[in-house]
Amino acid sequence: MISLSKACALAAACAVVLTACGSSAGTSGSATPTASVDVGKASPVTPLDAAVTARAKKQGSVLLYTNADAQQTAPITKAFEAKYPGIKLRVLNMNDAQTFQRYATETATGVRTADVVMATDSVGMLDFVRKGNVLDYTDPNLKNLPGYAQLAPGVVAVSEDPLVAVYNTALIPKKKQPKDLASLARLSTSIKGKVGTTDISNPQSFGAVSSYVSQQGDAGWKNLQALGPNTKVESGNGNLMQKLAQGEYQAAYFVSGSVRALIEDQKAAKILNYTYLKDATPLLPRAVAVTKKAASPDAAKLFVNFLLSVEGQQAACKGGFTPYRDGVDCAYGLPAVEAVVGADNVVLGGYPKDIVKNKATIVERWKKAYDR
Amino acid sequence: MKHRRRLLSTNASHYLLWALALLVIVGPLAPVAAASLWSTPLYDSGGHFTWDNFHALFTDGGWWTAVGNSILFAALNTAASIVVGVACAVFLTRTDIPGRRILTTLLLLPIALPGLVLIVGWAAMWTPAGFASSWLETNTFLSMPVDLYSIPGMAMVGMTVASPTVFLLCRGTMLSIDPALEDAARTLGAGPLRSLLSVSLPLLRPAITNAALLVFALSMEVLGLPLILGYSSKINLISTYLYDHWTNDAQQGLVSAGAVFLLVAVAGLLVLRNRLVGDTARFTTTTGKPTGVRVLKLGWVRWLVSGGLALFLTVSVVVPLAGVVLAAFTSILSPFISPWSVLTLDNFSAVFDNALYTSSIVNSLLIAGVGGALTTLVIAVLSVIAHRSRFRFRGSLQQGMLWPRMMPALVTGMAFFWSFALLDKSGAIRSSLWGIGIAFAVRSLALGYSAFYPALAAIGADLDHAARTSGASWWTAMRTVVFRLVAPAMGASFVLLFVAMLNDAEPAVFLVTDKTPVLGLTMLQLAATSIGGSVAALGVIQMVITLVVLGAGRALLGVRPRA
Repeated sequence: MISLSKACALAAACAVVLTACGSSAGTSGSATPTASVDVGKASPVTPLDAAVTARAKKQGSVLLYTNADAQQTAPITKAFEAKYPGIKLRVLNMNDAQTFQRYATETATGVRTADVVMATDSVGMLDFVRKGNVLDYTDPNLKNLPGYAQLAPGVVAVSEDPLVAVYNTALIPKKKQPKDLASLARLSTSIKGKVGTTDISNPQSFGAVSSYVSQQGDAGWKNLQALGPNTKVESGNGNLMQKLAQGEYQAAYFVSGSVRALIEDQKAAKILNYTYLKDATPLLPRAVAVTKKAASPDAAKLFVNFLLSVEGQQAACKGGFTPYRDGVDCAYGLPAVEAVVGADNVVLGGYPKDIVKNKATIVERWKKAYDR
Repeated sequence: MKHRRRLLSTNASHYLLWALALLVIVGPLAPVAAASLWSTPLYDSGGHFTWDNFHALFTDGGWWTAVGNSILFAALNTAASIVVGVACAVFLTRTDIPGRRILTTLLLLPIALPGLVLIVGWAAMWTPAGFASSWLETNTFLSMPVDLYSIPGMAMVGMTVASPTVFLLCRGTMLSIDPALEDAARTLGAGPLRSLLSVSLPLLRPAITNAALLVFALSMEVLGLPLILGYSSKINLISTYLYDHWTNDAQQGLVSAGAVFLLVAVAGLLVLRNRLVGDTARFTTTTGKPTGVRVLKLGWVRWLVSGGLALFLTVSVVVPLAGVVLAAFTSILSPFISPWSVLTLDNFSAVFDNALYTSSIVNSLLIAGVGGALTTLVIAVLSVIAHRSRFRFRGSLQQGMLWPRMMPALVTGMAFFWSFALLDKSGAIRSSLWGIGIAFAVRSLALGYSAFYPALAAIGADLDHAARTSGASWWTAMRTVVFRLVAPAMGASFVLLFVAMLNDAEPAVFLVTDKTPVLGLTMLQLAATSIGGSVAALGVIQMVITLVVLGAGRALLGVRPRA
């Protein structure tokens, strides 16, 4: 046993040493914009007042629970800590359901909990607000942000994350890749079982479906019902992308926009191509809110203020978020999406109307269409 | 003879240890039982006692479908891994087939890999669109007969990890069987194979039933496999059913009711095991006389057996492992792109450049190494109380060591959070690696205990009695006689615990902080957002570390997973 395991260990150790010696910075920077898009003019900076900033510096840290992963939050952490030395941004990554459950469990037991939460799940966040867990205050940035940025009292959108369609270019050549969901639905009948999406229990998937059907109404449901029998459903994005790359699937829709950064890398682009569907590019607001039981409320407000500023949105862009305010130069920003989809087809709003009330019916109807 | 006053009588020490064990094991179960009988989640105020959760669970058709699927999956997995594991235990330890050491190493490799990464390897190679399947179909007349996205397919993948576990649990007994017993059969005219099969194999009964119980129980609660392979085929197992309801509807009561159901089920299985094994004194093989290992000569058949095993291990271990390595060293793994054109070390540099990943590795190593060793000792002590003493409540210890594993991991994590929050107001344990370590350790007690049970059953009672008649106290007899004899079982237990605690993820969801990340959770987060390369890279690093640690343990302590 020693001989083989030693050989393995030696081989891997060599690879590891080579890597450690010759590696460059690991994080991929943002890709250069493919076409120059007009991003508008940046508004003047709107900082918090000096008293809040002073208290924030005394508090010394901000605890953030978010569904964004380490690579996405790294540029934000770097920029925030550079701007406010002395305040540490502590990030804990977990999915939306865990964020809210953990907050509830920690407050029920009197344990230190999050100062700021950042989540995508619309119903989860609205329930969170309804239970009185969010600090209702107005950040000075709001007066320069579009109206749809305010999602609920105390809850603001940090990013408008699009969902995209991804194709396997070896199986569906670029020219034949459908540019809208209706054509994809038609194509799906001939490639039954080779189209993939994620389950509606996934907050991003639910957000996508709810946004799409509230925009398109019954015509949208018709498309989903046409796609349903031909689509296979995965539990997460990771599986979906892996199977798509292997050729198990030829197309995938309502995929989280975070795959864009992975595909812009040349190697993956050999086989995967993403596109914003003209009639179905839901924009999911990524909500940020300061919590009522925050141990560092002023530092939290300072962080939110930074995140919503032009500087903060630039940092968020580097992490793969989709900034929407004017003056932020970003290859993945809202203007870039609008350039492809058409400004009229992009539906910007807060959460869909009555989303909490309608969640059960939407999920029921989806499950019937997809036979789950 | 000088009569030394002991600080604590043996019986009192048993009670003390029993109470501590119960605190740590049953303590977390209490919030779960409470949650199952309460109408609102524990963190919400109000609510009342109710049977509604159980009612909702038992009237849900989806639940019973999931139970049926789970039983089928568990049965297939157990049957296959017992057959393979025992056959390997017999052939690789007691016969002279060529290449035994390499085959043993190959068989044991999957244990060193985290489950998620092993599935990545299988998915890359043997799924209908995988590398190996496509290669087979285009270049040969063969094709992969089993669809990985079905229950038999999942059982096949599960078997790759379960059969080395069975092998480890049976090998100790296999090696300790007194050749005199087989010689007795030989003097009556039985051939070497017949004596092996009719004398030694039945002596494995405690080990086999114990291993079957463990594999069956683990199959009922495994989550990663059905979530990745079964989801798109709409195969719901108990674990995915409970996971779904926990994360998506926050139905803590319903899920806790499901957890209670699983606990009752495993309690029943344990009673069944004890019934099937019966009086363990019949299976005593270690009796104080020196024994050697008699190797059975198979003649020319040995080449066939060796070839068969090699082929089997190539398909089930080498090919998926190659898939993992390929995925780790390429930026995207796909049959449509030649892997040589996308070779890269970026996945590894992404791991090493990120402080989160490197500190996850360090934290998990600490938890698994230190925690694994401490837990092995604790299990050793509890097992001897449970099986070698006259302690009144020793049966409850046997049950207690199995129960925590059966609960869904998320539920265990929540339960521990509540227990820590209520018992440790300062939060010192809860937010440190100790808290996570305790949660992981309790969850993996079943694995360590399974390694001890057959070893203890094999040691003749006359050995500790000999020590007692010489005046040793019960503890001295255990320490000087029994523990020495179960050293191989301690090694096997440490191996299983180390690997399990290195990879565990969900129990830490409520306990982990930004300062104490653990590898399992980091890997899950990576899996959710990347295209597989970084997960594979992390898995390769973890496998190398595991092999190095186990190899170092063997060199330093002489404690080996085999006798």
